[in-house]
Amino acid sequence: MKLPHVIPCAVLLFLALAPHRAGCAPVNVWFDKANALYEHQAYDSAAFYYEQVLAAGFTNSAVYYNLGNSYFRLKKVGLALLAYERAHRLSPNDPDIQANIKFASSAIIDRIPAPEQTFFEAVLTRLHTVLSLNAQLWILFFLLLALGILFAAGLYVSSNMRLWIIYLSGLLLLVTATIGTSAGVKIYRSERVEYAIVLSPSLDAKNEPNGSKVIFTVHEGTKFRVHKAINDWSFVSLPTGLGGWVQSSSIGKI
Amino acid sequence: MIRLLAPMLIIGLCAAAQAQDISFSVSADRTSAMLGERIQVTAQIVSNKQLSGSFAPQVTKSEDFDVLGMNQNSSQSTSIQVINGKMTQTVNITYFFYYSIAPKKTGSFTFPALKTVIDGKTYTSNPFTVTVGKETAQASDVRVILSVSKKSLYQGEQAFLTIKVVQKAGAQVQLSQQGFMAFFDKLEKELSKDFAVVRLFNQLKGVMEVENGEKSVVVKAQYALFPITAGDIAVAPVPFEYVSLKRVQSRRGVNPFEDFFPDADEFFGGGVQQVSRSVVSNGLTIHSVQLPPSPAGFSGAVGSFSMNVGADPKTVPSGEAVTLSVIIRGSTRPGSMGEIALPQLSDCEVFTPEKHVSVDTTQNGISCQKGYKYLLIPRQEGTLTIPSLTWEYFDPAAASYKTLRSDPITIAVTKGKATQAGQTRYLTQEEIRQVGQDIRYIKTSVPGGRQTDQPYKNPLFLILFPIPFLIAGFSLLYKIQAQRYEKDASLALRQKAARRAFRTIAQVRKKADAMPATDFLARIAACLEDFVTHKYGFSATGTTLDELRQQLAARHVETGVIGRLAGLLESMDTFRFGRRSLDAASRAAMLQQATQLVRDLAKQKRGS
Repeated sequence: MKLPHVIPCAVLLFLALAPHRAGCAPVNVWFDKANALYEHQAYDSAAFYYEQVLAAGFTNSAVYYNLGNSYFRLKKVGLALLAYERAHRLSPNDPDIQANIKFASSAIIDRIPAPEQTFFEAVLTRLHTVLSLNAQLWILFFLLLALGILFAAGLYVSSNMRLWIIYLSGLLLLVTATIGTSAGVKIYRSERVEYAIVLSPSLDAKNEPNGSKVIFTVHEGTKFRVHKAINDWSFVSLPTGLGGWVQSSSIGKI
Repeated sequence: MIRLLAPMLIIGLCAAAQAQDISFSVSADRTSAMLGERIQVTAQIVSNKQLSGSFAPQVTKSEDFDVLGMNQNSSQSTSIQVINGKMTQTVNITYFFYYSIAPKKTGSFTFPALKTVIDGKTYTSNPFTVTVGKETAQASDVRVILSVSKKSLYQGEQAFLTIKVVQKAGAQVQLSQQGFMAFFDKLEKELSKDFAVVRLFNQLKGVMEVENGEKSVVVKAQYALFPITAGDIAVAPVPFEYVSLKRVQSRRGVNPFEDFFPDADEFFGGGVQQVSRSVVSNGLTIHSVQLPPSPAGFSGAVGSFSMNVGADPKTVPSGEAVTLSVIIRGSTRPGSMGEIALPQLSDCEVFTPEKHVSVDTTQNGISCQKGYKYLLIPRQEGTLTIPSLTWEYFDPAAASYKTLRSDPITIAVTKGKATQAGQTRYLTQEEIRQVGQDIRYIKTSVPGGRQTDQPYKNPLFLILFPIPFLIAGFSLLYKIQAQRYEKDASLALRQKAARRAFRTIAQVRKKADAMPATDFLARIAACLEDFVTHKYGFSATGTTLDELRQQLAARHVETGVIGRLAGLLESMDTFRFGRRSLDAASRAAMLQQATQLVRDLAKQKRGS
C-alpha cells in the first residue's frame, strides 16, 4: 500500500478512536473526589461531582452506578433508580447494578407485575440480554469476517474441502443471524423505545394532556414506557398495558 | 347648612410663639364641621435659616378625632429692600405640616396645643375648639354598615362579617378602589387581633337596591371570621374615605347662555371640585364563647364535618397494594383541621400517606376538604380488617363534641402471585430481606473508559463492517477473472500487451546509452512486434512490412498509425542492417516514437 493511501485510513482510524481518548484527566480527578466525598458520607457533594463527570461527556456505568448510590443515600429513590437504569443500559450484566436496582425497587410504592413469560420466552430474553450490544457488534464483525474468508477460500479449494466450508459457513451464518437479530432489536429499541422513571413522589396519569380524569396514579421510582410527547406531556404505559398522559417534567427518561 | 355657613379658611387661630427669627403657628381650615367630614390642620414654622433635625409637631389620635394622614412641604421667599442706596436682603423659609383629622362624635372638642423643639427651645401653639354637628343630608350620601351573622359564637366557629357600602343613587360622590382597599386593610387589621379572617370576595360590584322607597347603589363584601380569643370582642368603627364632587360656579356673574346651555358654566370656567371625605362605619360587639373541656383526639375543628372512608380493591393478592382513601369535609379553615391517625395494622405494611387539602371559598363561607391516600400492602393471605377510623370535632349547633366513625373495612387477601409463578417484576417484602439489607458499595475505578449505549454509531464499526463483504467481493471478482483467463489464454496476453511493452521500453530507456546499437534496435523492434502479435493475434515476427501493413489494415487499424509503425520498423532495420551509428538523441527519439506507437495502437479497436 502506498503512503498516500495509508494516511486517510490512519486519520479515519484516529477519528474512530478519538471519542475514547478525550477528556480523561479531569474526569478521573472528579471521580476520585466524588468517591472520597461518598466515603465521608457527603452524598450531596458526591452526587454533584458524579454529575459533573457525566456532564463532561464521560458516560460510564460505574459513574451512573455511584451516582445512583449517592441519590439512594439522599433518599431520592426516583433519581437513584434512574441512574441505576442508565448504568444497566451501559453494562447490562453487571451484578452490582442488578442488585442495587432490585434493592432500590423494593423501596418504591408501586408493585406492578410484569406480564408472565413462558419458558421459551424466558430463555430468549436471557439470550438476548446476556451480551451487551457492544460485545454483540464485535462478535458480529468477527463472524462476518470469518464468513468472508471462508467464502473466499471456498472459491479456490477442492470440492471436498468446499463441502466442509459450506457446513461451517452454515453454522456461522445461523449464529450470525441470531446475534444480528438480537443486536437489531436492541438498536431498534435504543432508537425507538424509551423508558422513564417517575421522579415526583406521586404522579397522576390523565386521559389526555391537561385532562381532568385520572387514569392511574404511580409513585416515585416506578418505571414505564414512553410512547410519545406533546409539549410538556408524555404518553406512557405500564407493563400491564395501562396508558395515560403525564407531565414530562415529573419523569426522567432512561 | 351649618357646613355651608362655616368659614372656609381660618388663618391665624393661634400665634403662639415669636422668638427672634422663628415663628410657629397652627391653623385649621374650619372649626365647625359635620361628623364624617375631614378637617385640615396646618402647622407652620417660619425661620430665616435652614432648620435641621426632627422638629415636626406630633398629632396623636384621641377619643374625639382620628388622624387620617400627615403631609409636609416647605417654601422659601427672599425680599430685597433698597433704602438710601443701602440694600437689605431677607430670606424666610416656611415649613408646612398638614394633618387630616376626622371627628369621631358630635359635640365639641378641643384640638390640643402642638409643640415643636427647635435648637433646644420649645415652641407651643394655643389649643382651639372644634364644633362637630350631626350628619347632614349630603354626608349621609355614603354609609358603611358592618353586620355579623352571629353575635354570639364559639371559639373557632365560623361567622360571616358583611360590609355594605351604601351610596345614595344620584349622589355626587366618587368611591375609589383605593378607598375600598384602604378600608379593608384597616378593617382586617382591626379584626385580626381577635379573629382568624378569610376574605370571601375577589371583586367588588355595585348592585342597585331599593330600601324604604329610596334607591341606592350597594357594594357588598364578606369575610369569614373565626374567633381565636374568648370573651366580648369589640370591633371599633373604621373610617371609609371617598370623594365628594361639588359644582363650582363661574365668577363671571350672569351667564347669558345658562338657560340654553346648562353646562355652559363648566365651559366658561365653572367646574367640579373634588373634596375628600370620610365616613365611619358602625362598631360591633361579638361574644366569643370558650369551648368546653375537649376529649382526647380533638384537634381543634369546630363546625359541621363529614367523613368518607373507602378501600380499593376489596380483594388483593398478598404483596400487592390496596389504596385506603380517607376524606374529611367541614366548614372550617384548613389550619384548624388536625391530622387523622390510622390504627396499627398487623401483617400489613403501611406507607406514608399522600395528603391533599383543598379549600373552597364562596359567598356561603369557607369549606375545607382534607384527603389521605394510604397505600397498604398485606403480607399474609387471609383477611385484612381496617378498623373504624374516628374523628373528633366540636359541633356549635349541638354545643357539644361529636365523633365521626367509619365502618370497619374487610379486605380479602388471596395468595400472592410471587408464590404462584415465582415471577414478579418487583420484590415482595420477604424477597427484600433476601436481597440484603443495603445497597452495594460504590465502584472505585472506571473500567473501560467512556461507554455508550449506542455503540453502533461508533465510526470504527462503519469502517470495519464493510471489510468482510469487500473480501468476499474481491475474491469473487478475482475468481471470475481467473476463469476468463483459463477459457481464453490469448485474452490475458492481449490485456497485458501494452503494459508489458511499456515495461520493456522503460527497461531499454534505462540502459539505452550503455547498450550497443544493434541490441538496442533489436529490443525495441522485438517489443513492438510482440505487442502487435499479442494485441492483434497474428505473428508479427518474421513478416514483411507489407504483410504487416495488410494484417493491420485488415484489423481496421488507422492508416496513419500503420504508416508510422512501418516507418519506425523500416528506419530501425536501416540502422541495424546498414551498420550505421546511432547517437543518444536518435535513441531517445526512437524510444519516444515506440512509446507513442504502443499508446496509439492500444487505443485502436481490435478487429476480427
